[in-house]
Amino acid sequence: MEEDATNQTIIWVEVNHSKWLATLSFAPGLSVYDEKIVKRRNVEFRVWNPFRSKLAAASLKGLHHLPLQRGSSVLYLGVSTGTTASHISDIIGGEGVLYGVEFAPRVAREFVEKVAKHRSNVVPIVEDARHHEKYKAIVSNVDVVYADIAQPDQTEISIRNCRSYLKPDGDMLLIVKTPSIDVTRSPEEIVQSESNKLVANDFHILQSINLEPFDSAHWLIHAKMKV
Amino acid sequence: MATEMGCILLEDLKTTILSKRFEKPLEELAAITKGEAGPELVAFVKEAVTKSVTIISVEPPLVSTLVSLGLPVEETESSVLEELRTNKTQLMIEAGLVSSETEAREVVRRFALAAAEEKLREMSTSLDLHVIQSIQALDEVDKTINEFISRLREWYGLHFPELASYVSDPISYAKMTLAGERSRITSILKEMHLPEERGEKIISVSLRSKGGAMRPEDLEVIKTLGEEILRLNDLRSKLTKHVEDTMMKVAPNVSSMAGATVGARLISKAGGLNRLAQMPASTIQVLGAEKALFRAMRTGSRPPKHGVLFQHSEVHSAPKWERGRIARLIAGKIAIAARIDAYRGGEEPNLAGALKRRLEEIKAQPRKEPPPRKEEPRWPRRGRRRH
Ligand SMILES: C[S@@+](CC[C@H](N)C(=O)[O-])C[C@H]1O[C@@H](n2cnc3c(N)ncnc32)[C@H](O)[C@@H]1O
Repeated sequence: MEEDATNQTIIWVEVNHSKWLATLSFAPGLSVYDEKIVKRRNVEFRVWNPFRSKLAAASLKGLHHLPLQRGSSVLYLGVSTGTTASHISDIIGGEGVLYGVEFAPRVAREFVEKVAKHRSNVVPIVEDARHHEKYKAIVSNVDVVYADIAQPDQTEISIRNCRSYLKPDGDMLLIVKTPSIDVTRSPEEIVQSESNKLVANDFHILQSINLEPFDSAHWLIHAKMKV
Repeated sequence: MATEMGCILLEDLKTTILSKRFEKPLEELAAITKGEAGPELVAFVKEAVTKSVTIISVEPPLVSTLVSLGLPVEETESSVLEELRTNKTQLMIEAGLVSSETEAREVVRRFALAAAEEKLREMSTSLDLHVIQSIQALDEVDKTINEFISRLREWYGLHFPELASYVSDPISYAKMTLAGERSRITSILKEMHLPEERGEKIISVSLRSKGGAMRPEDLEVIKTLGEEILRLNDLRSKLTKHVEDTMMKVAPNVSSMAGATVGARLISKAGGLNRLAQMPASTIQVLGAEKALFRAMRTGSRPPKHGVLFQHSEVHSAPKWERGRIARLIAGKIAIAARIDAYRGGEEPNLAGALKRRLEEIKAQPRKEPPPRKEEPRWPRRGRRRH
């Protein structure tokens, strides 16, 4: 990723003397949260704040391979107000599609109004990710399942969603918020036991990343579903 | 096959024989998700039958509705469903429901947007009002069950007075009364899978019972009462589940701090989630104990330490002299939780951990039981007492 690369949807930019990631805005003129918008070669890029988006944090903390590119399809569980989702929408562009699942009405409304309505590659789903069969009429199979629902049983929920919607050899990105799983065990132990669950369900783990200092007690596990 | 655009009748999973766009796709799809068939879908299947089709296979949830209308349908196998789902876009294009992949995608997205907005509208028509109604219904059903049960115990007791002291669980008791004559209790006990020993005990007691004989018509009415109790108990489970599900959506944080039913009672006493969110912790702590609170103010007796919160398992399981401080702690967390639920939404998992830690701290330093206190007025009496 270079500052001036053409045809890239993610680039590095320098703002206030520090380097940041930025994504090519798929909805120019609009900002989703309070992100900075910069122009490069006359197109808008949105600065991707690692303190606000765990995927940006993971990218900066050495995610080897971001399994997202133009045209990718993504099922996002726990999309919340769409901070991270908006950047994914930038990255995958018009050929891609992001299905955003969120069940809390207030944040879901913000997601619909501020993100989904303005981006033709974003499909909102106001449902509980535990009941994945409820959105089967809408979701077609995807390249990536991204899960950030901070539930004690989120790994199980995500696995079931992968079974239904992830293409063979597809990628899963799982944010693990360790205190929401168990406050009594150490974060490392929890990440290990969640990884074990994935392995037992025919995933292999590519990487797990501690998101400190951007987020405390958060990890990202990157796994692939075996064919 | 039913899609968000309309229905397609396929032969050998490939050739379209008939297709029709829905005029009201949202309504039709909403019906389908509920396992029902909307009017347009029914009309489509009826038309399909006229195309000299012998049997139509449809999505499983639709089978029972369509069969009940006398239509020749069977369930599509899940492997076939999977295949249909993967090729859906292509099939929709071939059937002329959409013109291109891009359009198909756009159609799905527009449908999803409309569905999401509809759902949000539904949810914002204050789901908390439904919480209030269902928790009140639950409490009423509970009360009725209790009243019916004591009636049943007393009435069936004329015939089999000893039974009550062997069966404390009211629902098991109600089940047993379905036997009618106490001499017929054996088969019911078998059905209930009671531990053998207990079953035998009850049978031997029934043989020596001091209860009087009863006319069949009395036993019949008693049985109906027993059945009614069991039905009410089903309703009770449904309402409990409904309260839990709705609370998870409308107030997940209050739910995790207080438990779904206690949380729902707090919302009900406060008159809504927003009102609960505006209350200070000290008010939440005594919500539901208003009578005691007013009495305390009037007579100068000690104010209550907890209201609804007494039902919180951490409060009522604590020693009596610790309940006040535990209730205060939990009320504080609930106040925060209610604000998050009302103003921000989404779950805040740190709350549960924080509460658990504080509770452990309290349990780690138990206080000694205080000596009995003299009742002395804590507040000066204001004015003359009126009667
Ligand atoms: C930590 S936030 C996600 C933040 C978001 N990923 C971002 O980076 O912008 C977790 C979200 O998951 C939602 N959530 C939790 N459980 C869920 C479930 N079972 N189904 C759908 N959404 C859920 C919560 O309402 C909350 O908005």
